[in-house]
Amino acid sequence: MTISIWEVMDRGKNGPKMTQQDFSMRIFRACQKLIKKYNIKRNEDEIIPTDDALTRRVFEAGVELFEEVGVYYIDKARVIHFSKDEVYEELDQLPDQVVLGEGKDASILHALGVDEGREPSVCAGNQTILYSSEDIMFQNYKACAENPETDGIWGGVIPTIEGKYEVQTGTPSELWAYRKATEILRRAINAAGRPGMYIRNNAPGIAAAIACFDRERGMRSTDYFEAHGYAELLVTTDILNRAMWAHLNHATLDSGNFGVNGGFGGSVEGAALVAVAGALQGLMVMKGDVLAPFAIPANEKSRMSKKTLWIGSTAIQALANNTHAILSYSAGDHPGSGPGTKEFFYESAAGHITATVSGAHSQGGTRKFAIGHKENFGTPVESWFMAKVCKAAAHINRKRANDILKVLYEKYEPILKHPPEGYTLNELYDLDHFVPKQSYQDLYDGIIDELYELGLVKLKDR
Amino acid sequence: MKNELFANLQKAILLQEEDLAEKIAQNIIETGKESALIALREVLPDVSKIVGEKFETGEYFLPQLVIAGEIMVKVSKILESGISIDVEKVSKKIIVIGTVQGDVHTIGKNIVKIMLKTAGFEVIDIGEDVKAETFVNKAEEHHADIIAASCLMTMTLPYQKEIIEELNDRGLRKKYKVLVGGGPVDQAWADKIGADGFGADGIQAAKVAKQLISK
Repeated sequence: MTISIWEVMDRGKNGPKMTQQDFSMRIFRACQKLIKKYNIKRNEDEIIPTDDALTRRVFEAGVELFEEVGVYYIDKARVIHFSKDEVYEELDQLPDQVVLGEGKDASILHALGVDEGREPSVCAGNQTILYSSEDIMFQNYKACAENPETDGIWGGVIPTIEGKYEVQTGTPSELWAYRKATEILRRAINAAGRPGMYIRNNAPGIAAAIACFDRERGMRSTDYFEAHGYAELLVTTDILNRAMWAHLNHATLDSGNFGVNGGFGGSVEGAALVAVAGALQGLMVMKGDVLAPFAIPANEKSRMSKKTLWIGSTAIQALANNTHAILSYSAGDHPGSGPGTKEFFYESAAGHITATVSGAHSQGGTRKFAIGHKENFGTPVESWFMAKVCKAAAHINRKRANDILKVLYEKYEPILKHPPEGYTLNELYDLDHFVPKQSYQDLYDGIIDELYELGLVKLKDR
Repeated sequence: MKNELFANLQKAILLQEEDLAEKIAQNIIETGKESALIALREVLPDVSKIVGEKFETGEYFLPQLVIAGEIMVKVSKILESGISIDVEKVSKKIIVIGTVQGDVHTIGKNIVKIMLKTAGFEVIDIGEDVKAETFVNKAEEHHADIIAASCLMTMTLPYQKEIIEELNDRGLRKKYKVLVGGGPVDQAWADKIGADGFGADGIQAAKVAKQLISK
């Protein structure tokens, strides 16, 4: 590590002052210039780009963007700058592998490469959903963890204490609720016979994240730590605190920031450059071990539009093909459609396939994009699906993936503006036996058959 | 002639040609006060609607929204200068917008902010992680019409309710309209806490804000 986090903080205190809007518009102007300079143009016939020369140029342009605009430190209203040389030096020093979890359940993450056939590590589970009770939470986590293809599990939270006190960020209730959820997650994976599997519980506040830490009952240093930016090349002291917490525990840190479809990159191509620069933010500012460039939409209800998937895939491939970084991407984590609908599976499959063939471990769990404050809005079935599809996709190449995605996209594109709401665990599951109702099992089995017929043959050959 | 000017003004804004838009605005006021009023009351709102639609379809990204919004602000000032004091002036309504306490997400709020500006509101962004008390203090300070509160995390939803409670405690509830939005927010939540409006996205937020001030 050449630039310490202290040097980063110092640059943040003394860097050039500007407003956040001025910074964001600088991103736009730089992207416009770099897109022309590097001739970056999306091929609209592909969701997953197959032009390695293009992604090479995206990588170079992304590095140049990062050098030119830097990262905006919101708390100080100043910009933190790094040189290209500093970036390349730290890229060289990234680890070739990291280990998450322990013992027989440990998951080793390497750089996956593109079209190299290496299966990703998958952190599934129903990401950050709200649960109505501790029992349902435990059962759900346990069932997710019992799936052998799942390497890690995301947690959620119960939004009220004793059925009546609201959990509120920044208060003791938040610390209590996330700590409780993490303890239940730890007990659940033990009960599933996977005591060493890695867990992730992304408490919103750093105090709550720290409160989850307990070797015996909560988070461990071998679990999944993350520190991601909130928007395009922005950082806050809270994010730096989260990063430092990982480093103090000698934990693997997953870190990055995203490009926004509709954001200040100014175009789809610009957003891809911003996503690459976001990964470099994770490297240089938060000192991540696993880099996470990803793409989110500004005004869509799903992360699985063609453009958003293209942005994420392009950025991942840019880094996968031109560095030895271990990469994570949550492409399939947030479909617009809700659980229990065929569109949920079509959308998430498109995302999961994109992440794997582009060269990323899928670490984002799975959950309908907008859940509001509805409880139990996820089941283990979606978690199993994520693990299966992410791993099976390692055995197809980008061309095949594009063919599959075109078919899937035709199936879910009509609902993207108004996705089906979906159903809760209570509606999809026999809660007495904690198994899917037959109708949901049949739906799931049918989708697996469809994907198998489309060419994801490893879905059944496991 | 006037219609051609209006059409050219619209085109210049949508093409983000600031100098041209300002020149056309000057030409409009030279044709008379009534033209300036039409431009302010009809042409600019139409442009704002088109800008919102282009953002919704993905043709525009945020920078194009920002630029169009800035041009419209400058054009508005030129047009307003052409209206004398004894003719009704179009006054801007003020919105104070922020992300609630404990939440530092900005993207959604920034999109809504830009859409509100494009729709003709004056928007005061009070930042992120803002206490309920500060929302109300800033609304008082800026003589706002609407308080707009964003949150992206379920655990920060209660802070939207606190804004309404703060207004009630200070006897100011009727003075301000409260508009809420963000990932976990829906109409049911807005109704539950007594908010006046809910915006599912930036375009809806601007529409609802306009409805609130017309009440």
